[in-house]
Amino acid sequence: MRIEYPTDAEREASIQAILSAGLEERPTLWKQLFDLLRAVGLRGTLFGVGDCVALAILLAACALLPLTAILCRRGDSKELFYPLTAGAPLLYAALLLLTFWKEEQLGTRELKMTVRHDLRQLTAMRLVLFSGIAAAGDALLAALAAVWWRDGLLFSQLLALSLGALFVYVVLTLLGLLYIPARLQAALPAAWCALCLLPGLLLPYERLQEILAGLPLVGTVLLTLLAAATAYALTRVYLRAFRPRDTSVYC
Amino acid sequence: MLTVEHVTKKYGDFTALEELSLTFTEGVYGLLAPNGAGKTTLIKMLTTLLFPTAGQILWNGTEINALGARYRDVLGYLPQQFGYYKNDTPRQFLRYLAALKGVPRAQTEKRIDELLSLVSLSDAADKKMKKFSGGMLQRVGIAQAMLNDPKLLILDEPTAGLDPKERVRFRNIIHSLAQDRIVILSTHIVSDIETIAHQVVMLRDHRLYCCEPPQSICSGLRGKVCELPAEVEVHVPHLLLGERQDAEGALHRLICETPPPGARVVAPTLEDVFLYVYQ
Repeated sequence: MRIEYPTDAEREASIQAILSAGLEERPTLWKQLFDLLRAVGLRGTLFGVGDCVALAILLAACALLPLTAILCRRGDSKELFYPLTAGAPLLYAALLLLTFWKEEQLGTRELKMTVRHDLRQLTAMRLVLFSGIAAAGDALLAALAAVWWRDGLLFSQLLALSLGALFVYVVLTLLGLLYIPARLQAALPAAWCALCLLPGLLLPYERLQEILAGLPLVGTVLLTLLAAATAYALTRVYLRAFRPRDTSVYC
Repeated sequence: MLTVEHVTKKYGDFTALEELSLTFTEGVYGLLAPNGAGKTTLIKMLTTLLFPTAGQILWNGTEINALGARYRDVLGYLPQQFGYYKNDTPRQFLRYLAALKGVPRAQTEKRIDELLSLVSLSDAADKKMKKFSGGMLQRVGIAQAMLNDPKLLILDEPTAGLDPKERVRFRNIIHSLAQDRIVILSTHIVSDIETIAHQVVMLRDHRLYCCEPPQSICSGLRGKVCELPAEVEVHVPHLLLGERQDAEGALHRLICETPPPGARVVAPTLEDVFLYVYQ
């Protein structure tokens, strides 16, 4: 009896069929977030923490008061660089801290870790949402400054600097979620403040402003894009990683 | 089927659980041990909140962390500290959790109505939970755990703080839910599981002590539990289990190898075993 051996094409097709059945395609970050958004909606992403969002926006608005003083004095536009850079992550940090503090106080964390769309997915969605809100806020401030001083280049400079600072903070947040024990993570905003205050202690304030205003735009934009790409990659790692040994304050 | 294979959990030098091996199939399992024995640690490992230091936990032969969301799809969990949103109604809260659990939207409202009826909260479905008693909140907790019709239902100390009437109501609900699913009920209140668990898992010294039906566990003390009037002095080695009032006066309940003269041998209960094992 003659046995018909499969052709190369048939063999390859069989192997592919077996691999497709056995190896699940890993969904992309955006697909996971889109599935979550479709399941719970934007309202569900912020369910129970709407008051924290409102409070964070109020805090950020209050922090703008010193900046309006600069605007009213019609001082040098360089005076905006340092506060906007250091304060760029303020809204983001406030949103994050307040929402997760509330979840921790309510005791909903454990329950939400054991559902299909678990707290890690919700956290990732909130990180994306909050960084988008913060970025929009920074862009608005940069636009207002550019209109006030009638300087289009100022908009680009301030936007690149503030978004760069924001995404660096996002990267630090994600690194904290992945690698730092829970008891240390809530200190991240304080660490950021210390990091931003340090140059002010080492250099005269005017010199600091000049350095920031004199940074090449291309370099700043590249740094911002690099930080954004790192944040994206770390968010994917965060969603795929096993839970850290010590349960995080954010997760 | 849920299988725990040689699971050990250590926190630094402290061993919370050591070499635990168990198999769970359909039915109610009571996880019975005193405070600090490792019940919640085991529960948290079964619900993927903690990872074992050694060993593995399998669902139908596959490691639960590898299953990820597919395992969480078959899991219903009521934590010991059940968190909720005070300004929301049970209906709003369950609707939100149903979305997180992936319950299809078309089925959500019907499922919520069924579950609220099951836990006798239909009349309070649209009242804010900040006005609820402890028993009502635990019933909302049961309802949320059942939203996705789980094959594995894990309840961590669900009756702590409830009055006797609520505890009986809770037991009846659990009993009705135990068809075609694994129910693991962690408690240190013996009466919670004595009548509804078909297997009792006891932990001692951070290891598995036994996993048997309640009657089998109690049979180990058959002939050794007795009662006698409180004023009678006992001169043999014994363990005093408790005291109760009778029409004839106070009676001591105790365990001893040979019942003393005048003592009446009684049938041992699971509480007697609990007090004897964990003395």
